[in-house]
Amino acid sequence: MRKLFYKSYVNVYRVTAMMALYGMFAAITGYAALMGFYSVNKSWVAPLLISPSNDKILSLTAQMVASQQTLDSLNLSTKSLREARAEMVQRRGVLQNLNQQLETAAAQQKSANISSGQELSRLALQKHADLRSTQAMLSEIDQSESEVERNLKAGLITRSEALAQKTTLAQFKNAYTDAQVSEVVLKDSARQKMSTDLSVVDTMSKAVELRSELAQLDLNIKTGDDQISNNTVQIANIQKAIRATQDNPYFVVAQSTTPVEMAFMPFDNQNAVSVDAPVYDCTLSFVWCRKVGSVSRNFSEEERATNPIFKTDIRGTFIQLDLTDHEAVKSKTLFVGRKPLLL
Amino acid sequence: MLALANLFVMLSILVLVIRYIWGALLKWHHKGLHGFPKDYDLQPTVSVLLPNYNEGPAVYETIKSIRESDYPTDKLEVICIDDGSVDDSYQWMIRASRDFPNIQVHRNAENIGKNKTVLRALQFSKADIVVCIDSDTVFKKDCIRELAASFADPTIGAVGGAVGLRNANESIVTKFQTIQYYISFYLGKIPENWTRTVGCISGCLFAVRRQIMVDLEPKLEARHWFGIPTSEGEDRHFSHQIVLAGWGTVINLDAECHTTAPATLQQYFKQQLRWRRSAIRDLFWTMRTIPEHTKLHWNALYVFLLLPLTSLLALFRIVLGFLESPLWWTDARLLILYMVTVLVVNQAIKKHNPEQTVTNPVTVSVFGVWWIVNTLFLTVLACFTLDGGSDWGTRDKKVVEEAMIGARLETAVSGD
Repeated sequence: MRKLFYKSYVNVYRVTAMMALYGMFAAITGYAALMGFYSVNKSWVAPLLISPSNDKILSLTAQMVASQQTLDSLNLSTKSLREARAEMVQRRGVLQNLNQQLETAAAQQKSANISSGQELSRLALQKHADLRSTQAMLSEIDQSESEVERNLKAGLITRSEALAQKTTLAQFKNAYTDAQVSEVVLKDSARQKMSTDLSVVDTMSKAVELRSELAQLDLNIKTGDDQISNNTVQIANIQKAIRATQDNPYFVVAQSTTPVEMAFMPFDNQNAVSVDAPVYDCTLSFVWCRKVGSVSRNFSEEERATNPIFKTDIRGTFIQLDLTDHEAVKSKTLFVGRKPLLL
Repeated sequence: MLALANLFVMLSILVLVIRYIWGALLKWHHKGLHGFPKDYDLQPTVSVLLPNYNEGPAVYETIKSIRESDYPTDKLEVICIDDGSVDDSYQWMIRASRDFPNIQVHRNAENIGKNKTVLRALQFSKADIVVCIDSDTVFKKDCIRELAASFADPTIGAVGGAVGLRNANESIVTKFQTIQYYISFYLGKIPENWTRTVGCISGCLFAVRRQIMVDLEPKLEARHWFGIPTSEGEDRHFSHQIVLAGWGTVINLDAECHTTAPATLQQYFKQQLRWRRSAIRDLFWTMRTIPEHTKLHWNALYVFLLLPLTSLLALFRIVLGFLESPLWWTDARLLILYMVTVLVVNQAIKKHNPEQTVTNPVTVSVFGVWWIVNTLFLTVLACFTLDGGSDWGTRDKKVVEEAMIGARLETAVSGD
């Protein structure tokens, strides 16, 4: 009985052991083949399906929105600044023109005044000389008046004749007085013309105000220019960042409403990958393969991932796949370019 | 599942760590606990049982080294039995019997295996103590004296010695084994000595009271694995039986011998496979006889049950490691750990056993990954080949090669 038990036990054990050992042998051989294959193969990529709800994409979208808002704000600000600048430049032109006219008018006025002043001064001198000679004649007028009086008293002349003669003499005196007044007026006019008067000061004041306004405008225009220049640099930087982001696989996914089929390509394998290169999915990891699509885009931004076979950290980039068999994205690895074992 | 596997792994590591930490503590801080009384005046009669199979001139060297020991000549005999060698071993044994006193030489009519050859040699012994040895081992002059003195305590049934390598620097494989042997004997077995429950006294130097061997002979003779006779790991089984019979088993580290270790990876793998098979059989036997073990000190259960189990549990660690990261074993920290261990142990060897000092020890650290092979391949392979095995281990290959050479020579001669 015991012998039979032993025999049966040993038989079962041997069958089990044989199966287990063959299984172990197959597992170890397969494992070694897998390790060996992936150590030398340079055409594998690790597929992945990135959905728009991915954390990175949500974060990227938020960043993009913020960047776009900043860009819009900067554009608007730049536009306003440019408009304000144009207005200021126009105003500056008008003021500069006015200033020029003012200066011209002032110069002309000054020139005319000088000329008139000199003429008036000369006339005043002449007038003065005339008055001096006239003054000499006035004493003779006084004598004539006395003579008229004497002649009247003497009855040499009639009262009417005496009145007429006195009136004539008074008119001479009045004329002299008027001439004196004219001299004073003339001198005053000459003085006015030859010196700076209030109207000139007023004109100068207006000219200063005008120039001050022009200087302020220049300053404002320069500040505006600086602001516009600064905005332009910022806009260029943001646009550059946005362009770079647009070359980001997550941006591509963010723009899509459905999950996008991507693959991680290690740097070691980048020579095998090009746009439109065929993509293969294999049974038993790398043995029997069939075409499942092609590479549609190659991104340049570096990514880090875990090697699906060796579980080590590796560096590489993402590629976008255009898969005809969408199930292939669930495979651990895909192959680009050609079938790895040509099977 | 992963959590459970990790728990097993942690437990197995704990078991090993406890073993070596406890060993170190006993060795350097509690010397009295693992020691035992020795009486050099005791001088019982000793029979050295020397089974031989295709050992060639090396067997002469072995006999010579025994006969040159400082043990009284009249109290020491060597019983040599050739198990049908196809080489000139028998002639070398005869020559030794002519050159040295108290040498018996016998020859089996047919190849019956090492285990039975040793038991047959026992029939020729009348001594108090028998010392089973390997035919490729040489002994220090005081080795037999040290072993005999260790039987001063009447409760000690068997005594082993410290085994080193004759060919320590022959290859990187032997260098690695030198380190391994040293750790095993000078640290690993110390906690077993503490409770006198050494689980495996090495078969190349195994001293036992003859009466115990005679008493256990039927059990040793009838040893089988589900009806299939087994002889691999007879030293482990014998040690275990002695402990179960209530006797103490100890290692006397002053009794030194040197054996020839496998120099190639292939030989080493085969040897380790045999040892692993015997360890697994012994583990299953322990599990079947747990009630008997509960009567022993708890340390016996640690030695016979927990320690072997760690080998099986370590399998989880390996498999888990490969599942988590296929290149986990290339971790530089492990390599550094191996390197430091090798350098430290080699320094200890250099100080205490200078003849065993390993040259270029750093190169040996690459063998640190052996435990993966050991666990992943050897343990599994051993588990599923428990019905197989060979009696004479590495010498089997030799016999085939010798036979083939002989056949070719015969063909060549007849052709002429």
